[in-house]
Amino acid sequence: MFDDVLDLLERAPEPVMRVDPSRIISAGNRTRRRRRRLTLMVSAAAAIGIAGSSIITGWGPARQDMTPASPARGTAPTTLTSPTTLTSPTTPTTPSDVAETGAEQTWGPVHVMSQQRNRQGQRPALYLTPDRMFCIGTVDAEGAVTPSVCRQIKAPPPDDFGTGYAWSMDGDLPTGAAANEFAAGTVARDITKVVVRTERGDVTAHLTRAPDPELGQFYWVETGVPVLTSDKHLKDRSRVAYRGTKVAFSCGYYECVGK
Amino acid sequence: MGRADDEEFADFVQVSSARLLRTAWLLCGNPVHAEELVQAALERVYLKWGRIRDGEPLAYTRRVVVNLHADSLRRARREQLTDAVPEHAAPAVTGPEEGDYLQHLLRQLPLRERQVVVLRHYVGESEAQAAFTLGVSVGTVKSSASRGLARLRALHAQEGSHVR
Repeated sequence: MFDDVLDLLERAPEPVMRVDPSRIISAGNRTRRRRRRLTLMVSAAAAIGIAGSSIITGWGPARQDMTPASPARGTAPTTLTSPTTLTSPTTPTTPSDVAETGAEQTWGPVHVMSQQRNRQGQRPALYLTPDRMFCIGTVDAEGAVTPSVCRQIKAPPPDDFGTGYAWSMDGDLPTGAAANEFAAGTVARDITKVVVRTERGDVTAHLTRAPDPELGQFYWVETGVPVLTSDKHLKDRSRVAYRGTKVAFSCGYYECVGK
Repeated sequence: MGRADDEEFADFVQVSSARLLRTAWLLCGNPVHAEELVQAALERVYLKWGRIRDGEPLAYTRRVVVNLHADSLRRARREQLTDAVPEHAAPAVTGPEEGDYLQHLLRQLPLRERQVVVLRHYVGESEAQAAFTLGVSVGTVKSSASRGLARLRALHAQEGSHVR
């Protein structure tokens, strides 16, 4: 008889379970080969598409979000606010930020957070689903989204951050590509700027209005640092919201991402 | 990855799989599902082994297990919408010496409390580590741990008095 539940957690017998390392390694290698083949197919299809569009006038990728492989940087996307600079944070990167997708998957626009692509050609994206899940994931060239993390969205409080994420593109990036952290979340509509602080400096987030006024605004930015895997830089990471030139509120790392 | 990397990864699996499997089993309550969760998590870890081997691969794997479990619950909720509720026999409540009894207690905790209790009191993560693993605030971990453990103890006392 176990007297305490803690003993029970540690010592209660468990069923026989095992995993086989060689099976995992084989499955991993199969996944790698499949991804490589898919990348080759996507590249070939893209090459055919580009060649075709140059031959047949007016034919080619029709969506606004299908941007060139090397997008112009430093120009402000049209749907983003222009935050007032206070502490000279770095300028946000400038993705072409809205992709059109099938109405059944998403509610409102899909915001492409960066032009970085994984080997499948997908880019990191932030969006709402019709059942009000606030998701981060990837969007492919056809506009189909794949969620990575989702949470039910609520109206952000007037004086605090709402639902927040710290996320990075999950593996499968081209060799040498950095899996940087994306900071994202919601704030009230009257917030004029969100600054994300990291050990490498401040970055100003993009702000854009949610499709429902009640849900405030979305913010997101690629921070340029990897996601935390230890507490080493915990104290250096925080987020600050501004109304005009005044700090409205701020949050520490766990407070920012725990809602 | 080369042969040496594969061997290193295989060693990591050998060393860590027992704790990971028990963690997954405590979270999901089903040994087959626990094996699938750990297998899937380790496959993902293998694909990124070169990048995470020098960090904290066990903490990373645990986080993947927790996330995959939460994803599977979310998917199950979507997939199991039905008009007619299938009938299930009530699970037999057995003595505390058996693993089923522990699962019977854990099943009665809300997901967040179950996750926090398992991570804090079985895995031995600190509050900050558990918060990182779950992607929640330290305050949420504290309150869930305290509520979850109290609830678990109350259930244990209640069931214990029935069994005795």
